[in-house]
Amino acid sequence: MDGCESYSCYRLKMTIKEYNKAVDDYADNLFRFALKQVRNEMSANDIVQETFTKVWIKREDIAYEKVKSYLFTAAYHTTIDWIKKEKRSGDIESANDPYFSDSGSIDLKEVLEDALGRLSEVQRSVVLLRDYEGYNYQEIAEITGLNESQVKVYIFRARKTLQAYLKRMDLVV
Amino acid sequence: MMDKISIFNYEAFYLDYLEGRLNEEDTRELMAFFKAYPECRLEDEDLETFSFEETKEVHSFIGKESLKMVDESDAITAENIEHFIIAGHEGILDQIKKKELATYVAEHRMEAHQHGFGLTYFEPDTSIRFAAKEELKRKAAVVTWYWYAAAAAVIAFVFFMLIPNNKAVSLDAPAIYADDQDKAPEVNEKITSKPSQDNGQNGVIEFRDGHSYTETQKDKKTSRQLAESEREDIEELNINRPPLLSNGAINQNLAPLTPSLQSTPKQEQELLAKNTVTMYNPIEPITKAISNRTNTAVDFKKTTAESDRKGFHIKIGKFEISRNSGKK
Repeated sequence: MDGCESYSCYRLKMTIKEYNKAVDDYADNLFRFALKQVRNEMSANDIVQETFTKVWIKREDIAYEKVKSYLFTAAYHTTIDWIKKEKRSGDIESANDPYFSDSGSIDLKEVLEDALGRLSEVQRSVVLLRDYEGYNYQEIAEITGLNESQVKVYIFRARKTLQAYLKRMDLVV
Repeated sequence: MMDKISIFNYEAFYLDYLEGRLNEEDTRELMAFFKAYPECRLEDEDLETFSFEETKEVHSFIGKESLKMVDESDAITAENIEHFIIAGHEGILDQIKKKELATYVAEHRMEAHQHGFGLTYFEPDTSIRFAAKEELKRKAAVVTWYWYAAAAAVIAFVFFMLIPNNKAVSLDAPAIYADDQDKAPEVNEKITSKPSQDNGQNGVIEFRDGHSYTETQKDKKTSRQLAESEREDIEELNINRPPLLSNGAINQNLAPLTPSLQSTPKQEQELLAKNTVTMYNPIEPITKAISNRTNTAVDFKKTTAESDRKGFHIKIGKFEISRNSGKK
């Protein structure tokens, strides 16, 4: 143990080079995360850009070692705000119907995507952070502002909802 | 006499009757009405379902079970098996619980159910990429060496073009003396005499006042780097000299044009009072443009024609050069 696990040990003030590396490393992940939430490519683009703008403004207070967590925190809140705004204006796209391939068989992946769209925003976010980014409950709690127990409950309920949806579609027993 | 109960108002009486609140007289009249209009009377079976008792609706929350929390130290049962299956997929069960879960699933033939939960996990689609990544990147205000070189070259060019009478950099200029300049050359000769021995192999810098300073290739010495022996020689020559502008007499030429008065002796202060040195930037638009373009502080100042002393000051980022070529 190097005794440098605390946040204060990290060097603050992210350099331009580090910022650009963060763009290379995490822009795709953020885009996928946002796209799954808002289901609109342009909106997902906007969310990613807004997220990186927030990080750029705050770069002097962010250590590069913590930038991924900061990016997802910013993206999460931006996405939730976007969804709330769109719901108020009534412009949000409704969840798509399950897709069927040309052969007529149900595509499990697409049905699962549809099921994801039926989860609440928070459940969807925690599941994506867990599955896409492999964050543990504590990290997800930091990103979403929930506590660890809440994160666990959201994830477990989301799994049950998803499983029930697949079951209804006769995809699972 | 008009009937009290008619086809238009019988319902109110009928309801009171059914509730037992109708008096005898009105009850008789109502019965007479029903004899005349039997179709208005409810059938007996309708009356059976007619009740004024409060309907007992069952309000129960169907998701009650799902709200209950599972104690993971409890034994696995039919009620909590889904929780343990999910926990198993999440990888948060210890070895003992893992074994217990495996046993329970095998015993109850729940493999398919367990597999179903395994399908609820997402994998990122790496083919989805953020297209505008390059637009997000910030361009560093990198000032490469050639920008510095170009900036310095421009400044130097403009400097020499604008100041035709500019004195070359003089390491031995006599401006350090308050008066008696006619003795200064002796000092200068002393300084220049040593390096002149190497004239054959070293470059010689000639100055406008006829003095020269030889700069060796191997050991380039500025006045700040003069050897101790040379300094001693100079001090010997300065014994009877008028007061110097500062303690480092030889170095005076290289001092910034804004000398510090705090450590200046009284005589020096009087001398400085006589010597007015004002500076200005004759190429301000150029230096500003370079500053903006390179994102680095670039400045150039030179003394005015009215100034008592000649000199200039160049600043490029943290790099600064000041030269004082002595009295004009």
